[in-house]
Amino acid sequence: MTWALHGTIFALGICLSIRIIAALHGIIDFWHAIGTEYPRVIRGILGWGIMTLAIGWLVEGSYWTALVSGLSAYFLFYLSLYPLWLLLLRVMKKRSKNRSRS
Amino acid sequence: MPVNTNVLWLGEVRAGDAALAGGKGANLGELAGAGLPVPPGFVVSSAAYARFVKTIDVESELRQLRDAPQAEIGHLCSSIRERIGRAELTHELAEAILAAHGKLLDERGPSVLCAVRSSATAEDLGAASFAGQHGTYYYVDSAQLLSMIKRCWASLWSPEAVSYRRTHGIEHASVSMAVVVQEMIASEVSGVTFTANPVTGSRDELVIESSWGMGAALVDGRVTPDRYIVERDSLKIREQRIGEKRFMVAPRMEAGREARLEEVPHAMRLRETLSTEHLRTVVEWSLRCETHFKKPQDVEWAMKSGRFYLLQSRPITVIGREDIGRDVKGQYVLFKPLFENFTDPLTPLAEDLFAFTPPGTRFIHGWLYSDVAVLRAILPFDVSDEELAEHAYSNSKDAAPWRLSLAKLPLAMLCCAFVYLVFAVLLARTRALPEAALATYRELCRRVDADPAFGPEETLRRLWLSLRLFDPVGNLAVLMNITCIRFLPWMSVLGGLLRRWAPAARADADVLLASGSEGVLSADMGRGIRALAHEAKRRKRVREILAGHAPERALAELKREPEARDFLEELERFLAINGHRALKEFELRSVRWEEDPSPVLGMVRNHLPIESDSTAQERKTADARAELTRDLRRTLEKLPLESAFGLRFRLIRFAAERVKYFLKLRENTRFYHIMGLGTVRKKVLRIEADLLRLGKLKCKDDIFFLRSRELADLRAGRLGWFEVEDRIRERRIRHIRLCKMAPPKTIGIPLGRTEASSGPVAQGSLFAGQSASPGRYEGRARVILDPSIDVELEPGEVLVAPYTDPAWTPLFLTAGAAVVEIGSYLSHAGTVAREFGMPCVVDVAQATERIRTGDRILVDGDSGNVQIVARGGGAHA
Repeated sequence: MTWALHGTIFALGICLSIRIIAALHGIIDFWHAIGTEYPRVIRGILGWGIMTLAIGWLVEGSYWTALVSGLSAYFLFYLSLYPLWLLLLRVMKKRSKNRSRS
Repeated sequence: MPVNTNVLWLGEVRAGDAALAGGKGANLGELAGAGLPVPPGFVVSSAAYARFVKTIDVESELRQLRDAPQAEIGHLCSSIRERIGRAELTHELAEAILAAHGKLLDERGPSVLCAVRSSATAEDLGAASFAGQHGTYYYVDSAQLLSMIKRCWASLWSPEAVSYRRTHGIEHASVSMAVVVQEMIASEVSGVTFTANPVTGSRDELVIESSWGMGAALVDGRVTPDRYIVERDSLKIREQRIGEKRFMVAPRMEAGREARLEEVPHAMRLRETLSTEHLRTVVEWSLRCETHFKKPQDVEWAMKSGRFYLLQSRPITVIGREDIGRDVKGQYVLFKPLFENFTDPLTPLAEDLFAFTPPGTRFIHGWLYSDVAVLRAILPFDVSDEELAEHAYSNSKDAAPWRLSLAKLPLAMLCCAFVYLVFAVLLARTRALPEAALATYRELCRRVDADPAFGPEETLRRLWLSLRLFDPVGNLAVLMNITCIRFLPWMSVLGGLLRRWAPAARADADVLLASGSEGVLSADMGRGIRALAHEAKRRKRVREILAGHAPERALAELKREPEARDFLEELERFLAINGHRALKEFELRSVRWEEDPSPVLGMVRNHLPIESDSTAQERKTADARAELTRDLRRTLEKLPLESAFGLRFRLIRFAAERVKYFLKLRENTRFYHIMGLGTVRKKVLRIEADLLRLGKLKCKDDIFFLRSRELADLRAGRLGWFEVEDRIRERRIRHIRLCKMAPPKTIGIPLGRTEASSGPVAQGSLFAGQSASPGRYEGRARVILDPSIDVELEPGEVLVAPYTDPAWTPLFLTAGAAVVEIGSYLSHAGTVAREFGMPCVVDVAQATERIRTGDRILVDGDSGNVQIVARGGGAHA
C-alpha cells in the first residue's frame, strides 16, 4: 500500500510541477497585456505555489521525498524537452533530405 | 545511315535512327519524313558527341561515377561538365555544324533563331523518362550555337541525370547525346492537341488547348488556355471555353530583355485564339499524326501567319493513379485530418520546406500520407493494414469494431503518457486564453519578416516549430492547434450528459450548444466581406465599378474614383487583418490577398446583388440555441435537487463552453499559423526577385518548382538557368497532371476493397457523409469548383464544393446549406457552417460529380445524408 501512496504523491508532485511551470509561464504569456491579465497571473502563481508548499508541509519523511522527486523530475524533464526538440527537428530534416535525394 | 556522320538533316532521319539521332531527333525526323510540317532543322548526331568525348579524356571520372557515393557524384559531375565546357570542338565538327546552320539561315532568313534540344539515345528506354534532366535552349543565334550544343552534351552529366541512370540501372557509357537544332517558330498562337481525351480517356473526341505566343506558357500551365473539345467524326465543336489568357511567352527576345513572360494586352485576353478554319487545320494535322503513329497522340503545335507547324508528337502519357507512389516502399494511407488542406499536391519547394512532417507521415508526390506500419505499431488493436487504412481514411461508422490487443496495450499507454507529459504544460497554458493572447504571433511574424538572417526555411521553423523557453504562448500557434484536439473528449462528455439527463432533447443539441462563439476569425472574415459589400452598396460609382469590371481591373478603377475612398479604406482595414489568406493557403505558391486583393473584390461583387438579410440565419440559430437552453433548464429542473443547486445544468453548460472554446481556439490558431506561411512566402518572393534581377530565373512563379537544394545552388552560383529550365518545365507539366487527379487513398495496400469502400458510399440519389453542422435544408444545388473564379451563388442555394478553406467562407454567408466532398467535423466548412447556423454535410464522396447545378437537394445535417429530390437538368459548373 505504501508504494501506491508513494506513487500517488510522486504523480501529485508531477501535476503540481506542471501547474507551477504553466503559472510561471503566465508572466511572459501575458506580458503584452500586463494591465488587464496580471491579477490572474499573480493569482495563478500564488495559488499553485501556496498549494505546493502546503502539501509539502503536510507530508513528511519519504512522502515528502516522493513529492519533491515528482516536482523536480518533471521540471528536469520539461527543461530537457527544449534541446530534445531541436535534436528531433534535425533528425526529421535529415530524414526528409535523404528521402528527396533518393 | 553512315555512323560517322556528324550532322543529319531532319528529313533524312527516321524512327529507327534513335541510336544516332536520339529519341527526340528520330521522332521529329519521322514526322518530317511523313510530310508533316515540322520546322526545318538538323541533328548533331550522337556519333559526333562520342568523338568529342574521346578528346576530353573523362574515362577515369566515368569509372569512378559507377561506384561513387551519392555525396561525390556532384563533384565528379561538375568536373566532367567543366571539361566539356572548356574543350573546343574539333575543326571538322564545328565546321559541319556551322555549315548546316548557315544553310538553314540561307533557306529561312538571316534573322532566324533556333531551338537547341537535347536528344539522348536513352530517351526511348521504356520506363525511363529523363524528364527535365537534359537541356533545351531557345532563342539561339549563330554566336551561341556551339556553346549551347556543348551545354546539351554537358546536361547528360548533371548529378540528377547521373543519379537517375543509377537508380534505373542504366550504364552511363551506354547513353549518348544527339542535339536537335531547329528553327524557332515565332508563333502568334500555339497549343497542344490530345487526339483522345486525356482525362476521360474517350477516343471519340479531341481536346485542343491554345494560347497566344509561344507554347511554353501553355505547356507549363502559366496561362488558362482556350479549350475546345471536338467530335472526332463530325469535327463539330462539342465544348468551347475561352480562358482569360493573361500571359504569353513573346516570340522574340528584345535586346536587353531577360524575362520571357509578358502580359497579354487586355483587349486580347478574352479573345478567341483559333478561328473555326484554324481549328479545323489543327484538328486535321493532329489526326494525321495519330494516323501515322497508329496511337492517340499528344501534339504540340504552333501557328504563324495562318500556317501550321508541328513541334512534337508523342503518345499520350497519362499518369495514372496507380503510377503514384509505385517506387515507394511501405504502406501508406492519405492523412485524412489534413487532406482538405492538401487537395492539390504541393509544389516541390513547398514540399521541401514542409520537410518537418511528424514521424509516421511523409509527402508522396506532394500529398501527405501516413505510414500504416507506424500507426499499427502504436495503436493497441489487432488490425490488418487494410482495415487500418480503411478506417484512417474513411472513418466509416459501419466499420466493425477493432479487437483490443493486450500485448500492445502497455506500449500504447506509455506513448500516451509520454505525449501527455510533453504537452502537459502547454495544455495548462492554453486552458483559458484571452482573445488577445495570439496577437503576439502577428508581431513575431513582423519581426522575422524584417530580419534578413531568416531564410524561408528558418522562418518556417521559427514560426511553426520553434520551442523556446521564454516564448509567449501566442507564438506557438501550431502547437496550440494540436492541443485543441481536447474538444473531442469534451464533446463526448457533453453528449453523454445530455443523453443521461435530457434524452428527449433535439438530436443536434450538443452541436447547437457548442456553436455560437464570438471571435471565430474565419467567420469574422466572412462578416468583413459582408461589411465591404454593404459599404460598396452605399456608393453608386463603387457598385458600378465592381459590377462592371473584372476584379483585376476594378481595383485600379476604384483607386481613380474619389467616391471609392471609404470603400478602399475599409478594404485596407480588411486586408490588414486577413491579407495573409488565400485560396489553397497551405501552398506557398498561392498568391495572398494582400498581394492581389482581386479575389476579395470578386467576393464583394458576388455579394452585391443580395438584398436579403444574410444575418437572418445567424439570428435564427442564436434563437434556436436560446430556446434549447430554456428547454434544457425546464427539463433538468424536474430532476432531484436541480432547482435548488442547478448542478446538472451548470455541468452541461461548462462542457459546452469547453467545446466552444477549443473549437474556436483551433480555428483561430490556424488563422495565425497561415500568417506564418504568408511570411515564408514573402521571403521566397524576395529571393525570387533577386534571382530574376540577376537573370538566374526568367519567369515569376518558377521558383516554386525548384527543390530547396537547387534554390540554394542557384543562389550560390553552382547552378544556372540553363540547368534548371527544363526541370522547372517538366515539374510544372507533372504538377498540372497531378492536380487533375485525385490521389490514391492508399499506397502499397491492395486498393480493391479499400478504394471501393473509402468514404461513405452513395446509393442511388442518397449520399451518405458526415454531419458537420446540424439542421435540414432543401434547396437548389450550385456546384462550385473554384471560388476564385467568378461564381454566382444565389441566396439560399446549396453550396456543393470539393473542399473548403477560408477563401470559401464568404459563400457560406449566402448559402442555405453546404455539401463538401472532403472534410470532417473539424474542417473549415464545419466550423464556419456551425457559426453561421447552416446545415453542412462533409465527406460526401464525388458530390461535385454526382450532384449537378440546378438539382433540388435535401441536406440533412442531423444524419449526415444528402438526397437529390429532383434533377434540375443543369450543367456542371
